[in-house]
Amino acid sequence: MNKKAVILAAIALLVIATHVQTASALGVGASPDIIDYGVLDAGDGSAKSLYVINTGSEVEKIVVVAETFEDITELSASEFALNPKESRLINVTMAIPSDFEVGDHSGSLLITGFPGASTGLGIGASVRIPVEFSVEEKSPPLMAIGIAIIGCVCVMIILLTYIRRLK
Amino acid sequence: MVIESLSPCCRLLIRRSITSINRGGMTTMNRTYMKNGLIAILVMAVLVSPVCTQAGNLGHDPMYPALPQKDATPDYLLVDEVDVTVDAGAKEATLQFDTLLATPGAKVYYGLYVPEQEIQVPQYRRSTTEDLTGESASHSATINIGKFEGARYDICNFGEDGGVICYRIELYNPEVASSVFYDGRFRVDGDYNLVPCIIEGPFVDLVTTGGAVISWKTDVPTTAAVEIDGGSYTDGASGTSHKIAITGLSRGTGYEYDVLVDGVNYATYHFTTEPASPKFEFAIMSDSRAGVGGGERSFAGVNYHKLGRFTIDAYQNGADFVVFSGDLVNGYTTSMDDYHRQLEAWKDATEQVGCYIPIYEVMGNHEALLDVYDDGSKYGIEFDKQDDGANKSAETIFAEEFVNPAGGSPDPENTTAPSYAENVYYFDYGNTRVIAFNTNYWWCSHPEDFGGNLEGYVMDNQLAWIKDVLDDARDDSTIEHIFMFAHEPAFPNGGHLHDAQWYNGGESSENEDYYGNPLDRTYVIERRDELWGAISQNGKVVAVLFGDEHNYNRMSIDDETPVYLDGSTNPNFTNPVWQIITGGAGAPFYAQQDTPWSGDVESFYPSKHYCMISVDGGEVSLKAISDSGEVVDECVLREGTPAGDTSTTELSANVVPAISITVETSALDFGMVGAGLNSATSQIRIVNSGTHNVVVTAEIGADESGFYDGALRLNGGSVDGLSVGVPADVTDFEYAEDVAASLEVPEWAGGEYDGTVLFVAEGI
Repeated sequence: MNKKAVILAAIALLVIATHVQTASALGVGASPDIIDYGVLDAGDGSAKSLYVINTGSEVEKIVVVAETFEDITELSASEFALNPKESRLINVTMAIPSDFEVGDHSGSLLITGFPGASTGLGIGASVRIPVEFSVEEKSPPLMAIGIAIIGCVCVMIILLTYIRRLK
Repeated sequence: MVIESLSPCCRLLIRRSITSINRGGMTTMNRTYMKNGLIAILVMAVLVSPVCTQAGNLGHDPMYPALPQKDATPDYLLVDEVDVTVDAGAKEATLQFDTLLATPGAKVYYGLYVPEQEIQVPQYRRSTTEDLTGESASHSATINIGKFEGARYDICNFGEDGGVICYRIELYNPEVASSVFYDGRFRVDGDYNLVPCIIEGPFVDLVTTGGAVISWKTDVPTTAAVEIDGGSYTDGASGTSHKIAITGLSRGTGYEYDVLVDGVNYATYHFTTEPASPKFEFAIMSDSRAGVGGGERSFAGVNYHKLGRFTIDAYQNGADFVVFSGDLVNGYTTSMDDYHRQLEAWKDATEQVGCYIPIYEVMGNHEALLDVYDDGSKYGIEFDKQDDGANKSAETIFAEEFVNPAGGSPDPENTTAPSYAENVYYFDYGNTRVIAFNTNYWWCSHPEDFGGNLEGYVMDNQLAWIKDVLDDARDDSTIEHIFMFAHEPAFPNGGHLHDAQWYNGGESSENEDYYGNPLDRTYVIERRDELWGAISQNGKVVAVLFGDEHNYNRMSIDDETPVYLDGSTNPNFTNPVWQIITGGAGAPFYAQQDTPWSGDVESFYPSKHYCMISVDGGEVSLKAISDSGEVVDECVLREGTPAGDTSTTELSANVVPAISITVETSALDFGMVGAGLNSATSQIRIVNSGTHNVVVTAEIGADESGFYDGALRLNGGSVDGLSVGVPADVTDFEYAEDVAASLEVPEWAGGEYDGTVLFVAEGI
């Protein structure tokens, strides 16, 4: 084997060896792939869990932001650090004001992992998780319905009694 | 009289102006104008003065006085690195170096390492004295390393394979009539050719349930890799300083790791990942700065003698990690080289253990790197160096020298203040959160007069961060115990009643400003109370461990502890929390002094020691061990159910998230690119590490100058235009796509630009 071939083989081996696994990967993951609160009543709230993981190989600063409905979205933690492969469960609570528009709504959460420190052009990895919910008018309480029914029955009895007397 | 009623900053300004006018060669008219101007300044100052609080200019940008600077390098003799050359024919090595002062000839000790030894300490066997008449600042000493191939001395098959030669240079400093030491090493092969040598480390740090970071330095640029558990990890760079993250390990498992230098296996070490059960031990020590007694007790700013012994002892006693609460070195130097060299000497004394267990470092008052303005006094007016390109702050160099948790630190307190990265941090280990905070941040000797920060004072951003981290731990059901570490005690007991977080109660009669006027420092006590209130009310904090005082003392603080000069208590200290001062790793001792809380001190030991804390489920206990090996205090800090009393089966699973991407680089450096030109293209590999197919788009994050918004091209188009589908590979979750990144630099651009680009994955 000539000398040039040996050098080329050595360089190739070195390149392979140094790229077996790089040490500065940055990553973030989240589950579930969508947060669906279903049907919510105006004036009510509902909480869902969101699992966030650092899939990279260095400590990351994780920032969770409600891209929409930020005024009615409450996060149990929005900025925290995660070690490589470390995960954290956070609560995402949707608090619907009583005057919130009735209908279907969709928005998203953005979960971003930033490296501990970087100069030049730093890279962040983000995942966007859709958030969906429907808002209905708050249904009247059962007691109110009961009172209304009893009221109606009473009115009907009074009317029937009155009609009989007329006969 | 009017001037004396002003704030210190106004007084300094006016005094210096008056002095300047009276000294200068101004015309009478100029003086009249200046004095009229001064009257205007005086009126404004009188109006502004009442706004100033007791803290005066604390927290403001440093106001550097118009005075010459002076050097302060009390422990510094060696200039630059030692140059080692080897004469293979003569089997001799020559060490050449320069000293700051002319010194007599150096003594050089040299030897080998014993391969069978787990704790690799240098085995010096021979010595030589430099052939020098009189004194010189330029030195050269030749050592006969060929002697080690003889049967009488060859303890490591040196004759056939070569090996690492350790050496120690002893230099006599005629100015202080004592010796200082510098350790080093180099490596030769069996033919006496110099080959790359690890001169610092390796160190294992940031050990978690599934990974760690391994770091080391070599004497010449090399490639670096770590092989562990069948995997190979590299930082992908050639250089002398390497830091490699290891991932994908299993919890509570011991691993051997091979360090590869230029692709060749250099040595094998081991460490154990964070345990599966909440049962572990850790060591705490502080104040290893140089002591009294000469020799290794005063080794380049470090008490090498005690520090080396204590760290080895802690490891042998089963410590899973060590926390060191500040005053590692003498510091108080104006030389960045000197500061680096002192911290390197500290690492030299701890590396024998640091390759097996992580050591977390905290800053103390002695980790001071200064600009000193010469006002004729002994110490002058001292400021923490400012990061400005040419200079680095003590905090920045501390972060360069050590590997501590880097993410999630508080924001700096001011635009000119240093970073908190790697000097304020926390980590979780088992059922325990460890919080390290910095009571010696951005130091200035007279902050009320000249800005910066006061020794012992925890500033606003850091205090808010501490409260957040405490709240987070309180709400985290997996965290049972919290330990906090810092340098300056909240309730000093011997040696530092005049500073720390006490300042003799903040009394004006006990404190004075730069000009010698009485100074009310009750604001320090108020800040101490706010900090300790948050600690006490948390409910999970077991102990706060400080250094600074070179003794050991333990006391429990609650709402019945007298914590003020008048003996009164603080009702906000609702839950009892231990304060343990453990500053005994080498600095000169302090005796116990009278304080309002002296009656609550349950144990006091006045000299060298370190502590071991044992966490066993809900139970926490402590031992203080002296330099003679005696247990000088032993107690249960928190009673609870030991982990061993419950029968558990560890379950584990590696759940892959639904939506996930991993970008196989955390920063891009396009190198030097001319204005109006295009950069070379870099490939960014984006891995779909989740279970769902995703589409990846990009957004510009931080970009203050707007440079990257226009200049960055991804796959040849704009950042907003990027849209790359990356399917999921549910077999190994490693399907990847490459994105080509380049710069089209506009004509107007120039200088360095920082920014952030986000790669955003959405499920499809």
